[in-house]
Amino acid sequence: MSSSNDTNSGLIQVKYNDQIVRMFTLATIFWATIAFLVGIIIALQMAVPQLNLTGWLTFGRLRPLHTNAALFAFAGNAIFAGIYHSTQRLLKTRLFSDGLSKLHFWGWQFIIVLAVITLPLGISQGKEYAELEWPIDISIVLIWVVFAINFFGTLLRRNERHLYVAIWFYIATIVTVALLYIVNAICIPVGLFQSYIVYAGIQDALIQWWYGHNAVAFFLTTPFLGLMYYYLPKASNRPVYSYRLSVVHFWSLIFMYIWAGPHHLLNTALPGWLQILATVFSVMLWAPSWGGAVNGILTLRGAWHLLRTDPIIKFFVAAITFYAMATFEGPLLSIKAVNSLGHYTDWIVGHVHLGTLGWNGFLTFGMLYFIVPKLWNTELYSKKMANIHLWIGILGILFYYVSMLAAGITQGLMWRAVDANGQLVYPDFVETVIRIIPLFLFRALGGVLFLAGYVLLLYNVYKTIKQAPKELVEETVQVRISSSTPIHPERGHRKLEGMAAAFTILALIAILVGSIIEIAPTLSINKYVKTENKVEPFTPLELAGRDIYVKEGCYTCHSQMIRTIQSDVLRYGAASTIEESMYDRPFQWGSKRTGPDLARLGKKYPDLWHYMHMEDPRAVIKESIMPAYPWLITSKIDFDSLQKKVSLFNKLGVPYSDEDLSDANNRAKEQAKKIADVLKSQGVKEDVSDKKITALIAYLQALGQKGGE
Amino acid sequence: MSEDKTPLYDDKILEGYEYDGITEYDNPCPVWLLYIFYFTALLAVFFLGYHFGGNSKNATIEAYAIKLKEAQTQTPVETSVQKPEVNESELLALLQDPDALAEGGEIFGDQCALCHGYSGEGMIGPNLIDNYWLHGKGKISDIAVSISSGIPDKGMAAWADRIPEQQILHIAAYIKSINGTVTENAKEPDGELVEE
Ligand code: HEC
Ligand code: HEC
Repeated sequence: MSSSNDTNSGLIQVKYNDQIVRMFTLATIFWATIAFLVGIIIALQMAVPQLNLTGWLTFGRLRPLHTNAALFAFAGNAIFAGIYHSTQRLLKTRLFSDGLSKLHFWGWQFIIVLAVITLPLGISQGKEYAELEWPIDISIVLIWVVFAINFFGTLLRRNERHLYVAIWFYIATIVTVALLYIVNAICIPVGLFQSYIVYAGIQDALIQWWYGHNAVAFFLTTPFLGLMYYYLPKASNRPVYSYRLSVVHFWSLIFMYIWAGPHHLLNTALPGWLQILATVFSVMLWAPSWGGAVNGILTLRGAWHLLRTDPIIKFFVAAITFYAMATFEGPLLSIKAVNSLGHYTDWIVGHVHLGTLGWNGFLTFGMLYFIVPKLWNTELYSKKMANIHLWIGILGILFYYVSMLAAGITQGLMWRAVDANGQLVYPDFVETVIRIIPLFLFRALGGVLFLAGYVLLLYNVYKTIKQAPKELVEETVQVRISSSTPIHPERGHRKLEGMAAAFTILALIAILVGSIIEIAPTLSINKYVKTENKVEPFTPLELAGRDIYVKEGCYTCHSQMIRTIQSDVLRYGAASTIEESMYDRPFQWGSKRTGPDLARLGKKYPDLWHYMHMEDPRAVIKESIMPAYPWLITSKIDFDSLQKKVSLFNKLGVPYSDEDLSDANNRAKEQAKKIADVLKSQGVKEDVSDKKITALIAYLQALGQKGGE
Repeated sequence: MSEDKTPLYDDKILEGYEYDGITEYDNPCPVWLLYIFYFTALLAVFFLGYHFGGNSKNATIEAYAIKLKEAQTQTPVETSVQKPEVNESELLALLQDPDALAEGGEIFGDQCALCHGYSGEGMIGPNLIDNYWLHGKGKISDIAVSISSGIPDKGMAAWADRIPEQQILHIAAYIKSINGTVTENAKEPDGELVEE
């Protein structure tokens, strides 16, 4: 090192806060178990709908639990553990505040517990990966701010002049996630457990996917790249392949990622220029993404023997490989033609899991096998077990991915198959479902294998910790206070690495450019909404029904967006327009069609059909895999809150009539009575005029019937 | 610094920068990765040109509108669902076959009654005992076609995959046999009246 003959600079002792890292490590391990288990349950529910045992265990409620647990509980805790562990060492200083660290830890676990309770109860904002209701949203933002203060405070007290590439990624993560989360969650509460998002229709769609896509970018990619840049060179004891590549791919990645959100809305009613921007930036993301993968893999040059002997390196290499696969597939799926086949199918589900199980999962497992022995001052209990974990895990991921790829492409092709008369070959939706049920079972098997491997990790970690010495000492290092002036004059990026604040601001600017260009036009003016297409708002009863639709998570299986492609129009009717959903809060365009699109469902079937179908879908469609919703027939509509909701919507610009505004409650009751009377005359025994089912039927029958085409 | 970090190849370590023992090489970005980037940038230009250069921004929508029109104006090709290769008079013989009718009735009670009512009076699905038909003219073969290919758009699945053809014919005959019976709570007629 340069300072080898330095004699006059002082030495100080730095004691790292490893206790907090241990806590986050254990939390990661615990919550991962829950996230994986819930994943397996919902995978089985797709094949065996009878497993939707009771209301709070239905697919529509558990799926948000699974995604939130995977994202915030598993990945979140892993990120915190890794960031706190590596940052202290990279900056040669103890974390800024022990108190804030503890607050961060317990606050985050409390949030997760709240999520685990509220999501199965159907308390949900109905926006994917952002289902948590407003009090939890606020807690998340507060705890994130605690994390940010703790992190940037540490940055300011650093005893290392330059910020290493891992830290760059951490900075980008913290800043961007805060921005995404806050902007996407702005809502108006109508009670402790319910709120309406301020954005409507297309605005909400755009912001939701700006958030949703960048949750993948800045929660599942950038922090994990940062972790890779620390743990891979540490575990392999090799220098990073290329500093220049780090610089180039870091900036290009964060700048370009933020633009790609609308690729979740290709071929929809979204304006064409936004779709094309999303395609362009997604395609150009290929090289920056691979930059990280390449820098990781090439770092191992000269250490290939470790790939035979060291399970940790194996996990890292597998993780990077999965990352490279997923980031190649992503750009591919962003091309409109490919997207028209893959979107709404299980292919996308496979794609996501290639990233989450392969990249995030395996990188985390590698990291856990690396830090657990270090944190507990001992050796890993069994390398062999870690090796078996690796192979079972890989097998599980491949099972998962291949079956979902096959299911997605099969179903996608069936949806679009048209015969010589221009008629759909498979007009009966359920036919396309029956075909892929065996693949659902294979997928579940993949999940079981992945979990089985993970159980080995649990045991291995348990044994490792058990053999640890009683007294855990926190690692202490001698740090030479480097003089504040650099040894030689610096230019360009090197100089920037010495200026934490400037670096952070530049990163913020990099992600703001794309965000503002894409989102501002839709927010400031309603320029995409043609006002000559008059749209009627939902009646108060239909609104109550819509709330049920959101709470039950019907959007996890149903879309409400007929795309501008031939087969969609043939199957579901004219393509959806922006106007049709202009009052929808939250928008329910959906992202998955496990069941058919519902945008123009209204009047397709008689009310009684819906009644029987909701009570037990299999009584009507034998092979249906939709959950049964019998409790909707017995639980009551919340008429009393309607008044408040209608006037809130009115304030937000939804044109309700004076009668609706002054008497929402009774108007809803009247409409419900009419529906219930007809049902009764057709043989329904119970009086359902005040039951949830009636509101839901009213809503379903109103879909596509409000004008705006 | 750890011992085995002697550079392989001709990589040069960037001196003066070390983070918790991690050093970095001064290698350039791999050329092939840059080529990937140039390639995607070219693709991007192509996409943009395709989108903004074309005289219509709704090329996709228009393309499918044209396709749809073409498909509709073409003379219909023989559809995949064929009418059973039996003539009506043979089928009418089924009306005299009590076993066939009993079997048809049983399946009807199991599978169809929930939508068409136990006496065929209609509920979710239309009334099957009046002389009004939405699909076909109420002949046994017409009814059999409705059953086999279903009317998926309106909520009745195709039964061909689930019920063997012979049994479908028996159900159709059963429906024909109850046609004209009267029940109290029969549903309003749907479709066109067929004079016998
Ligand atoms: C696990 C996925 C799943 C969930 C959750 C789900 N559905 Fe379905 N849904 C399906 C499938 C599969 C079908 C097609 C088979 C059938 O009609 O039952 C379907 C069909 C439907 C249909 C008939 C559509 C048509 O055009 O034929 C309606 C209406 C419907 N669902 C409403 C709902 C509502 C309302 C909810 C929420 C309370 C819901 N679904 C939740 C999977 C789901
Ligand atoms: C899920 C409810 C449902 C089930 C189960 C069902 N049907 Fe239907 N069926 C319908 C509906 C709805 C229609 C009307 C379609 C239309 O409006 O064009 C219909 C139409 C028909 C028609 C044509 C009637 C006409 O007027 O042309 C026949 C025949 C028929 N069904 C027979 C059967 C038989 C036989 C079964 C049992 C194997 C059966 N259906 C099961 C809902 C059902």
